[in-house]
Amino acid sequence: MKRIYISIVLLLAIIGTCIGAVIFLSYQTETLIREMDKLSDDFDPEDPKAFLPQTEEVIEHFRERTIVFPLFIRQNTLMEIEAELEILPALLEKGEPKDFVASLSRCQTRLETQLRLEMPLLQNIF
Amino acid sequence: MIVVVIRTVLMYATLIVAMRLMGKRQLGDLQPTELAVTIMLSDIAVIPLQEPGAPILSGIAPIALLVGLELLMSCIMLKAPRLARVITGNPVVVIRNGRPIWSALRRLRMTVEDLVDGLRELGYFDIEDIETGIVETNGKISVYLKAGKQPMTIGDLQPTVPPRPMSCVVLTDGELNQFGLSLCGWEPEKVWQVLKAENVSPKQVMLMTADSNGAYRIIRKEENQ
Repeated sequence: MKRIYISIVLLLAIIGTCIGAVIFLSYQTETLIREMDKLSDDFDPEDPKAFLPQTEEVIEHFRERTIVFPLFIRQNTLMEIEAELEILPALLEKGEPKDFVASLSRCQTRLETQLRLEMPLLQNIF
Repeated sequence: MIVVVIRTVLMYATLIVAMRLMGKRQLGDLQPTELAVTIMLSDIAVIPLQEPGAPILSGIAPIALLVGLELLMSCIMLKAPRLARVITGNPVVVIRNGRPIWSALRRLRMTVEDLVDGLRELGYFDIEDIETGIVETNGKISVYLKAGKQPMTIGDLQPTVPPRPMSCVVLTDGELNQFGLSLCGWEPEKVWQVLKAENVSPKQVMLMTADSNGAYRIIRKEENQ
């Protein structure tokens, strides 16, 4: 009879972890996307250097919020997004606002795609 | 991760159905559910090792899930024999009175050569010697020999054979064996009393066996050296 309890505990633990992971990923990803949205909305192409502290803050938040993401999603994807984010300060310093906006938008899209891929949707399962 | 978990459940169910469809020939010594888990575990365990970028939980979660499902299935099958029959199938009689049953073999997609091979592996070279042959749910062949071909036992020579209790290990290297004690119904105190009566200390004992009739045997370390 012990076996049935072990199996129930195992299955419940997995279901719990999965639901927890989806909620956690959604919350953290949506928060990051909102922050990026705000940065994109506030961005003034006339004075790009003024947005350096805000951009660095977004990068720092990305690192903090995605610290446990590699437990659930592929590390490569995260590293690609982080690499894209890390060039944002350089783009601001060089005064290339168009590239800055494009890079930021790519990061947002990648995060959204990653979140969508983790959702238990039929197209992801089959 | 939830996608991986759902996919694992789907693949587990698919593999069990596939095993049942393929029949008993493919099973070896395992039941369909066990074989499905064995096949999947060996591949899943390698994913996090081969791909360092893959999340470790994508390896651990499916393994834990498969173990959980397998335990649950075995418990459910114990409680629900009908479901167990659906999943593992029924044993099939393939030989009756020394004659292979062609319809049963066809149902199992076995040839007579396969059956004869299986019998030879068990040490039976003449199908005529077999009263009944059964292909079990795990694909193994069980045979019941004809009366004249069965090995002779003590029971054949004596009308009544007195019961002989099993001998159990109760002490090894001076340490009590609780399992052996419970099997033969001895208490530890009885072991110590016997050792005292035999004038042997537990440390001198390499092996002590006992049975439920109270008989015992002590092998001292010195005797063996």
